[in-house]
Amino acid sequence: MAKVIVMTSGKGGVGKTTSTAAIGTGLAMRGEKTVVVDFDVGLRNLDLIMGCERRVVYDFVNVVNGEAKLGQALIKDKRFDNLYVLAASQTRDKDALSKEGVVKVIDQLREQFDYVICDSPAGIEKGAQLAMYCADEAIIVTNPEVSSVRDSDRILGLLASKTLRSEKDLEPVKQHLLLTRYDVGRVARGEMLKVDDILEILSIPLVGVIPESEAVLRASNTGNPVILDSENPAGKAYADAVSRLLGHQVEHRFPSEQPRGFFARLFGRAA
Amino acid sequence: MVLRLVDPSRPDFAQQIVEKVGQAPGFYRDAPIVLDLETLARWPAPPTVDFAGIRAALASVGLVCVGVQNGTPQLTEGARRIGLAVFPTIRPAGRANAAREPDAEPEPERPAARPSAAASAPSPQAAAPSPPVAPVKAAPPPRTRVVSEPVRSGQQVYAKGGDLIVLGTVNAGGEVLADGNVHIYGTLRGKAIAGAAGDREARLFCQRFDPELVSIAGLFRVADQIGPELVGQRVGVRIVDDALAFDRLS
Ligand SMILES: Nc1ncnc2c1ncn2[C@@H]1O[C@H](COP(=O)(O)OP(=O)(O)O)[C@@H](O)[C@H]1O
Ligand SMILES: [Mg+2]
Repeated sequence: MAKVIVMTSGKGGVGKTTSTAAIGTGLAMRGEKTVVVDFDVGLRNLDLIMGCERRVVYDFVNVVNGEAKLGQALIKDKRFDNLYVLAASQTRDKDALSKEGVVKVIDQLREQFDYVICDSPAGIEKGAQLAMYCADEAIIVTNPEVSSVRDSDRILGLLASKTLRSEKDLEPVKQHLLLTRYDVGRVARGEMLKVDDILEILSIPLVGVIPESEAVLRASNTGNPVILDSENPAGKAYADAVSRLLGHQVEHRFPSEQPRGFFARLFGRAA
Repeated sequence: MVLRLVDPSRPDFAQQIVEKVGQAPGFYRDAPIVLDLETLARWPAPPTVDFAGIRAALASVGLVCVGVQNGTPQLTEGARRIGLAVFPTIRPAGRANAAREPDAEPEPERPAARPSAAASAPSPQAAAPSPPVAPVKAAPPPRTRVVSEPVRSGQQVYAKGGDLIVLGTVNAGGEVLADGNVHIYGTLRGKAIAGAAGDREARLFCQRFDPELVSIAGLFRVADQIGPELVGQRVGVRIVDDALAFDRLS
């Protein structure tokens, strides 16, 4: 049974697209047939990070509007043959997608893939709501700062009311918290929020903590999702997050600056 | 209200609850129930309790099972797993507290255990804390709304005509309102409004106090007007002499 996962945050620039590319690639590396879908119409970023921007002919908007067949718009990854990209359009505006059209295309993708990862645009308006509409699960991408946590909380509220699952009274969208750009030094100095504090506010299970790392920008610039770098802490943290998404128990490996009992509390919370 | 479990291993256990409650149909409609595990916790080998079954039995007679109290970790684990709240151990209200707030009954009273019965149903007196004002005759019993999910930024929950119980937190940007009392078992970081229709006897209780705004019957205070000594505390709010009064609850 295919799973549709939305990567969402409310706030912009927190790492949704980076995480979509990394986790999508990671799932494919584990043998799951995966497609990453760019809902950020007008910006078109995901294809860049995935390193396939020079091969985009048709995009998601074309398929939703019936101007191209799904098969024509799916771009196969050069590294993994079970990984595909559905790019956004740079030339259309935000309102180019219709809800009915999106539902139809996502249903088609469900038939072909194990995982459909939807990269949401920022905000809480139509674009973000469309990206989450079909989701079975949601990864809430959050930075350790008050405004990002607040926006994530807002998005969690929308997930409970603006999705197909909520409308049909099905089991609610399963929620995962992904903390990104986590800078241990700044957290220790009190400039950023601690993991515990964020968990206390959002009260959803933690799927991963991605450290701030220069490797992320380098990876993006070369179109190689950071998860391919198995030596890098951010790459490793994404690999762990993928394991947890797949249902494996993986300890949160984490820098030593945290007090004792930290892991125990993390697991205690992740009910 | 509180239902004390005495011997859930008896096969007719659920039936007994249904019968007890069935004796006063309507009275308990939609009432939130907390299961007290104190008696079971004293068993030499604590029994496994079919919490899902108990919840279903209670639901069949219109009761909402919200959580458990006074259990051992072993006992409460099963309750936690099916999403029941595990309330901190509750002691009967101390005298000092009672003296300061003679008519306050933030904690539901618990009936005495009846060893002969598998479950002791709460008596009506225990279930209904004496209302501060005499109820209008023939008024429908007030409804209590129970919210088990966190109230998040942008969300609003309103208990019209009755009390509101929030089992989790009310986050910044979230808002809870009730025509009656508001009870919050998590942290209040957002707005909470009791007596929304003007009832000046309404009160607000919360386990951890850090609100953006609190209001009773139109009187309100915003975060800046609330003393920092109250932040993070268990706090009750009520109206005394035309002003909001804040009590730290021990
Ligand atoms: N773990 C990280 N360490 C350092 N920089 C990061 C990390 N994650 C994301 N970034 C950077 O943050 C910026 C925003 O990331 P992006 O994935 O585009 O966010 P969004 O899609 O949420 O707008 C990019 O410049 C990206 O390289
Ligand atoms: Mg993006």
